[in-house]
Amino acid sequence: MSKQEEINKRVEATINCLDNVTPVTPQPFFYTRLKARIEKEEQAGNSVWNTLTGIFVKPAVLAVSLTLLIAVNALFFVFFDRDGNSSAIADSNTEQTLFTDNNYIIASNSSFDYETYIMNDNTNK
Amino acid sequence: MDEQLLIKQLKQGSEASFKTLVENWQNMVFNTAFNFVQNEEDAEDVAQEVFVQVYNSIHSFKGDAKLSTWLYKITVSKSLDMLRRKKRKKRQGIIKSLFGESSETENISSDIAHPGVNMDQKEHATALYSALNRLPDNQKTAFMLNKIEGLNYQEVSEIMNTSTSAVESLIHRAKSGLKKILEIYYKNALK
Repeated sequence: MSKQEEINKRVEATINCLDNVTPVTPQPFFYTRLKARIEKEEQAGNSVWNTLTGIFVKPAVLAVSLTLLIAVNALFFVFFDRDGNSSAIADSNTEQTLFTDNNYIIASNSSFDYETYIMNDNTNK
Repeated sequence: MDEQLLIKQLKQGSEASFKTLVENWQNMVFNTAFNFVQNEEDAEDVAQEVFVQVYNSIHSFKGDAKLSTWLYKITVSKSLDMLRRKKRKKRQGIIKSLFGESSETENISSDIAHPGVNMDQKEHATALYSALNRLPDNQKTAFMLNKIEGLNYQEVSEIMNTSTSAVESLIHRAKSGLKKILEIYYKNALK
């Protein structure tokens, strides 16, 4: 028998070696061990909190969260530098504009209310 | 017991029915898990995980498929998860050892003690399992379920959520892959 034929014979025998193999069975009292595990898991409590902490403890999730945090910070600094304004000045300006606009709206509303009041008053007279 | 009645009682929370289900299917679940993970300790762990999932999610079982199909699906999924966890642990062990930390890497090696294999077939079984571990998950699953579990293409396709022709193709590719791997193995062994 040539070497290649020997190899082919062994390959075939290997592929078919589990054809009539006796199935493997678990150790006795499998159900007892299973019940103990279920009870243990129920006692530990599969609460949402446990699941969430379980997820965030995973190294991959932690790494992604940290990367995202760093990316958000980096973006903040990029935009901060581009505008050339400090956030404090921007906030103050925005606040001032809003304040002026509100005054205008308040004045406008007050004026409208006053005119309506005078008109109603004259009609009643 | 009738399968529909068993499922109905399981959904009502009957512990006796759950015990019946476990006793009826534990050998099948354990044997399938063993063929994937290739050691009794991990197979026991997977089999327990399977039945814990059945216990917790029996309400979501619609009864469209056979109970056995559902159990096979869970078993295959849990077994592949276990193999991935072990591979990850092994990789982490290698990284730790690079940094000088001592670690106990779990061995996903070829040293398989299959209690059902005769001594004269042991070398072949070891070579086969090692070669199977190098196949893609879908080819390995199709081959295992058909060749080792003895399921027909229709049953395998239901478990794998695919067509029978796809299963046929997967098994064909699995056999070709195994032949290539084993040829190299025996060429080196016969040198």
